[in-house]
Amino acid sequence: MSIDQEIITAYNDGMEDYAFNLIIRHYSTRLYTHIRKLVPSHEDCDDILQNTFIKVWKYLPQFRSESSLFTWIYRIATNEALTFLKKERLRNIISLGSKEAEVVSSIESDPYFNGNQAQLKLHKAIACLPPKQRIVFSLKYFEELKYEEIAEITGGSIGSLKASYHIAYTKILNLLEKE
Amino acid sequence: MEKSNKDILDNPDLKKNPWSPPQEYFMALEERVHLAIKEEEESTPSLISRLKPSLMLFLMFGIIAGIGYLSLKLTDALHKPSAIAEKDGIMALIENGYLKSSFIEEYYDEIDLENLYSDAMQEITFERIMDENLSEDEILDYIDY
Repeated sequence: MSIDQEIITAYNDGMEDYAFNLIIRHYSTRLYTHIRKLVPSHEDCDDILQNTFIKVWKYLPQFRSESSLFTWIYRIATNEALTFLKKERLRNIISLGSKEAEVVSSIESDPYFNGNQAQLKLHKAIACLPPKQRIVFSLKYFEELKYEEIAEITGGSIGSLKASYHIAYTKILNLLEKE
Repeated sequence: MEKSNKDILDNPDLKKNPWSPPQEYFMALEERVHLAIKEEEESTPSLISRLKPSLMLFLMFGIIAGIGYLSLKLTDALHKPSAIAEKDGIMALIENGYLKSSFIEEYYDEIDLENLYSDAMQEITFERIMDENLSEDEILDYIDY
């Protein structure tokens, strides 16, 4: 039995707390890594991750297995990250600041970034992408998900996701060429 | 020979996670999530506070509608016909200026006011007008165009 099936079975058997704890233990690392690529700081990532699990707890009774538990949870996490990024963008417009420069500089000075120079260049390039392209690129390039799975998470059509990934990939290559 | 940038993105090392969270972050996460859920459930707003915005909106619409009604009332835009005119169609025509009262007074005894505009009465009225040899202006004077 897969972990998702174990969780759903436990939940349906009335062991809601046990099922929810299984979700946190099984998905927290993966979700943290996914969100961390999208937002600049650990504190923001932590907030989004907590909000994700709060929503998972709140809407778990309505989960109908129409999609897999994995894509359902990822959809919640991705939407939370997207909401955060949109708010940040709006705040940035109001303050007339340059969000891009701020994010790039925060990656460079991030005490929790332990990658090499190549990884630093790559993640600085990713940080320059618009939020939706960043999400599609992250899910395809790092998580190596199929387009069908990405479509279930983001809600877009497969054609538009392929186009989005191609554009993001090309932009990152161009940015890496300039370095 | 320099690697092309496409080769760089194909490098599997690039796909590794470069971020590490603070120590024991995941160990404490479960407890913090449960605390956050408990706080959110305890701070769920009461029915009144949830209904308050809708009630305020309803009240505002009511005030605006009331102001609109009052202004229409004051400018007589909601004028209703007088009680007499409501009951008497002929009086309504006179009050609204479509018929001169002098015409009615002149031909009151000869004209059936209840059926003033019936086909028969129109013919009789027309004959009377012709008999009287009223000029066009005199006719128009009575039919208040």
